[in-house]
Amino acid sequence: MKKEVYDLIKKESVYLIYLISLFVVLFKIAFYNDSFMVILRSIFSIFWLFIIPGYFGMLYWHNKLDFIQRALIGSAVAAGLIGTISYYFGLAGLNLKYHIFILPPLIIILGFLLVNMKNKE
Amino acid sequence: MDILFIPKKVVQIKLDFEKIVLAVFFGILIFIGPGNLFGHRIMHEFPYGYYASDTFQHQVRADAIKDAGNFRYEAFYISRGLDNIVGRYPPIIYHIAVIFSYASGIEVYDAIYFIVLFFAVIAALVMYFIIRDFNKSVALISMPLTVLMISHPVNSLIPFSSLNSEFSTGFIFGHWPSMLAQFFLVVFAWSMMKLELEKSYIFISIILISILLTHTSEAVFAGIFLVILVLAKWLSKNLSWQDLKKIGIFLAVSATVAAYYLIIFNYTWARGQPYTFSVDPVWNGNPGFYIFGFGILLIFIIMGLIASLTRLKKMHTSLIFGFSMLLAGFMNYAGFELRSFQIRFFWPVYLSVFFGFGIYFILRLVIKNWKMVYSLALFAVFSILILGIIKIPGIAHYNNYPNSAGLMDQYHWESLKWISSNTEKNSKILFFYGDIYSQDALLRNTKRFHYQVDTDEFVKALQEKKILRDYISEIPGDTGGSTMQRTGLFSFHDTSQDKPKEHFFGPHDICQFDFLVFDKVSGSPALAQYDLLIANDLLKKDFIKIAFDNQVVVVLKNNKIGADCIEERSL
Repeated sequence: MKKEVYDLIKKESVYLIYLISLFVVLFKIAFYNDSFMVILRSIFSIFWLFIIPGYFGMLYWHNKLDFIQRALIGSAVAAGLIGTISYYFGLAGLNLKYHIFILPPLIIILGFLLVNMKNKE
Repeated sequence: MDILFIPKKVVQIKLDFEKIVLAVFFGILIFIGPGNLFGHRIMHEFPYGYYASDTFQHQVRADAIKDAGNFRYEAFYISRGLDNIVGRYPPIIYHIAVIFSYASGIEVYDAIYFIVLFFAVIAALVMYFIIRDFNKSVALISMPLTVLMISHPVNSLIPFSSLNSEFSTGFIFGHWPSMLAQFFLVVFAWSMMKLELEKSYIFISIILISILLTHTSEAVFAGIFLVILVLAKWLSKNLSWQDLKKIGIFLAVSATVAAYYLIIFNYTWARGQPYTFSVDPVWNGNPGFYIFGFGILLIFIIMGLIASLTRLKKMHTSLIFGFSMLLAGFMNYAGFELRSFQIRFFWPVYLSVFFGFGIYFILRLVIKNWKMVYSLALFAVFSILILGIIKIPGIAHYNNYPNSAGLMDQYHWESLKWISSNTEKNSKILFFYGDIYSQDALLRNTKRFHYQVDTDEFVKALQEKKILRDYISEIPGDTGGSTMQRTGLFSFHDTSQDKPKEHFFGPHDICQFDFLVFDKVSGSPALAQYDLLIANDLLKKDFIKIAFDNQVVVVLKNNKIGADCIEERSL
């Protein structure tokens, strides 16, 4: 991986932590009747399934789009990809219960491949 | 160096302030949207905030997909007992819900609802960035209008509008696939705005596929937007061959990836509900949204629409998107019926650009030296008004959801879950009268083949003071888009045609059912008493036993199917 991308990920990992913290605070306020564990697990699921894979999926466009937009649009891209790939994987015989472990890393890898392709170009 | 450094710092502070505004607004939307609707809980003991049959329809399907591990077939208890019916609903919402349920540990009924509302909130933020690309002040002023998307109902006290104006129907009545597809539609608009980015066709393809596989009809509206955008670009001489090439690529990729499902769609939905021209000014039987529901805020929206025409030659994507969705929301006058009414649920998001631009445009005529602080002040003022912190008659403002769990309660849920967990998979269930059973998709939570007595005929029997052995009953399954078996890549067969009509609706012998379900309480006490009279008559037979009982529901088990289980008599 090119150093520029590595440095960017390192820098923006802090933003992701800020974002998780923000979610924890806001969700605890919005869902004050729920236990902290339920809230925490829901937030980690949102990040594991949508925001983190989406962030890596949109990394290719890091020069043109700021972090927030990549995170927002990335979450849509990740949600769409997870839904679509999951549908076809399911039809191919791979039970949905395994998709949670397979699809987010797959999208992250695809994001890395894309950004590396850009670096090679 | 110092001179260069100071302005950079100033810029940094400004950007952070914008992020704070966005974070606060995101928090408000989460609080008043899913927060209020879910009783400020993510996890519930039973489906919470479900107000119509369609909410259960989607919940049960997602649950069935979780059980099956895929969406090759629709579950038999959804398909009126028919086996191997092809999964014909657009699959994305169900798959995301199931995976989110696995990840978060919350039940599917909570997961699917949460996903829909969460992404609706994200849609408001994405719309902010679309408008921000046009003008940051307009974006800030526009944002408060999006609050109405989750209002129940919109309360604008419009004296000349007799129609309800309701946005939250999209959530509480279960138009969930459409709502999620409209989130993708907003992202599609953002993506088209970024068409010039290198390899933009990658994310645009993914988003278009997502629309096609979440609620296919929204792809038609995406197409309308795309055509208008391309035309606008062409007229303003901004359309390049590069743009056309990218559009060609993402259309081809999307069609190819979605092809497997689109074939199913073509043989089910497209043939079962073909387009026919009609004019439907009112959405009969449904609380929808009508443009006057915006109240006085409509004046600003109209001002924005007029102001946009001054930029006809170089119209920004956000305005084109707004125009396209305004048009899409009025296509109920051209045969699009409920699909257009569904688009209106998101009007507060789509039309927010006109709202913000209208106010900004007028004020700019007066204030030449515009400062960002004015935009922030307007954002604050309109947030206060639209959130309903200060209520002004005529201005549409947010209304909280009813303080209620919705249709379901813990007693009915217990009975449904008991049946799904404690009966043989091939058991036949008969539901007698229950207040909530008219929203029949909830009965599918039994995960068993079930009938329900026809309420009209049941009331008639009560009026005639008769206890019968044969009651007119129906199989209340899902026939939307028709129940098809796939017999080849391009061949499908409607298996419901193989059975006589009486199988689905007609007189049925109650002694032929394994389990009989009665409600003990009702808003119409006479019906509950009639239910219990029948139950007590059945219990006179020693082969019929109480299998499940709580304060609201009793389930009887018939251990001698076909035997004479009840004496027909007059009361």
